[in-house]
Amino acid sequence: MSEDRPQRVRVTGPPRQSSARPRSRLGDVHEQTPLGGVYLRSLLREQLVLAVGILVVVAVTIGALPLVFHLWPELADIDMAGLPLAWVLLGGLVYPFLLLLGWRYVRQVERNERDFADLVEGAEP
Amino acid sequence: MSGDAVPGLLAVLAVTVATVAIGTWGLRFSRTTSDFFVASRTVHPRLNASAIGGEYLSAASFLGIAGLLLVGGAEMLWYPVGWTAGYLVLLVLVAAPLRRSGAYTLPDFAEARLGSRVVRAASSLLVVGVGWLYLVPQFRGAGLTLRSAIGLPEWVGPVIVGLVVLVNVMSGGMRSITFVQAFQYWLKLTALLVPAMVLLVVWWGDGRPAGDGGGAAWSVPVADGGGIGLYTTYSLIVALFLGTMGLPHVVVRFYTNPDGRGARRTTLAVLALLGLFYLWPPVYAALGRVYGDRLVARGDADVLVLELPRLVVDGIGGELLTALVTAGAFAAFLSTASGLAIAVSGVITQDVTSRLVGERGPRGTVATAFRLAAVVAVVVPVVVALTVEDVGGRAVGGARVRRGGVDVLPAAGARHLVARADRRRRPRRPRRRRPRRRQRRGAPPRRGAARGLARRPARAPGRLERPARLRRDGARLARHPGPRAAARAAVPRPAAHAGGAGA
Repeated sequence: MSEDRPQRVRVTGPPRQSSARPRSRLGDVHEQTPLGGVYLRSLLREQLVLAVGILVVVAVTIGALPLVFHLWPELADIDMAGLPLAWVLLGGLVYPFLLLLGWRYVRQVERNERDFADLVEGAEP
Repeated sequence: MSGDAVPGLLAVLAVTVATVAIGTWGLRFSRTTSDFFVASRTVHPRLNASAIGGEYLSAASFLGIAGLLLVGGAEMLWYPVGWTAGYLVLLVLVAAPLRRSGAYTLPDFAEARLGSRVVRAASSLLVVGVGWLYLVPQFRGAGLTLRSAIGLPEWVGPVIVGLVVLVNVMSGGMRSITFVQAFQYWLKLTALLVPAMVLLVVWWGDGRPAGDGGGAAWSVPVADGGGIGLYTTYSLIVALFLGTMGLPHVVVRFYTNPDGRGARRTTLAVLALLGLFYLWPPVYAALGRVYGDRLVARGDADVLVLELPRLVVDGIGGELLTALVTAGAFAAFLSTASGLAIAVSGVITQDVTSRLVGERGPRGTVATAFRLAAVVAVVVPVVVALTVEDVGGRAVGGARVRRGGVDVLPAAGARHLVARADRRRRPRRPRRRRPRRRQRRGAPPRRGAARGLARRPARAPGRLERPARLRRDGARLARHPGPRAAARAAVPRPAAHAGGAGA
């Protein structure tokens, strides 16, 4: 009625369908569109690099032992806690080491998969 | 020998009865194809790891390694190290893809991966061949062990082991065998660990006598002969590290995991269990240096584990420990033979007997086909073990080589089966088979969409269980209704598919 009536204001909640939130890429991955292929290849490359890394670590640690003992035969005479070095390394310590490598690998691989899932499903804002 | 043999005889009887009891218990669960082949893919990683440890630790590990170490020294440590490290290689390269392929058997996997019938046939032949060649020494080893430990005639071992394995495999397939093998891992570990502890205590009580040291070569982990020795050691390492991936009875156990993640965790647990086990053979070897001179002099080092308790501990204590070790050795033969029998029966079922009895029939036929295959898988090697005298064993230089070599040869022979298959680029998904395409005829005529659906991860080369697989797909579609999937859902589907999705 009067002229000083406040102007109408539209009140809304926070936007539910935010355009900032990335669209789910899961469909792309399943359909193997070029975009999905890129995502999938990045995951596969990551996992492959990880696997190769573990194998390289095994090769330069355990795999180097015969060469080391071949080049420096006097290592065989060293005793650790009353046992020859080779027996301590290959009879005991190698198993926890392998387990540690396996554990690291599984942890990292599962993290990669979670990250990938977050990426393609669109992370929560 | 008759008085001494009683504890050993009782131990073998107890292991046999327990094995049959656990195995036939699985009969109440096993009904479907999936039960028989892969225990319906519901085996928890820890149980599965115990089962893999159970079947993997054959007599070569239980008896052979300690003897090899006693005679050959540190160079022989590469055997247990390689057998364990093989699982790390398996973990990083094939564990998860193996499971995700959804295959029932190794030939399934090879065919899904390479899309070739010829590869499938070759793979089937190799699995059966490897399995049988591997089973024969298990049966013969059982005969030799029972003869030396209890004094039974040599044919008894193969017959008993063959019968027990057959009963277990036939009664519940993979379900039964999983429990049996898990039980046998812990039995074997106990049977190795408890005597080792007692022997260590006795050794400590004796004032920790040092052995004769075994000469300088005993502590060098490289074969003799300079460059050639180095080369020999490295070839052994490569064969052992890669060989594990090709053992059909190990690979088939990975199909029993719920998913790829479970497969990885299983492998990790296997690494722990094997490491725990392989700590003990060196202890026997070291104690053998102190107490077992007579065995080395007699050339009987391969019975070190069986004989050492008697040599160190006198009287009834020694006999009881020997009985425990005998039980463990017998369990080793049983569990490895069961695993191999399962792997071979699975392949024979799919490629031979299911065609004979009618593959697409009702549930009962699958069980029948599997049981028929189990008979073939077990009886052939038993007959070979009974009739053929000492297959190559003596020729290669005695039982020492044969026992030590038991695990190595098949591993090296079959490794390319899986290693080669996995070398293909990962993005390749199992190729579709014609029947599935027919099932999807009702999907919208977008070829890309259809291909994407069919190539989605976690896809199995559906062979006998197509309805279940469709149902799973339906569930996934419902959970992630991407824009295209939603559009597809709006299109009316053929009755079979829709029914499957609703179930």
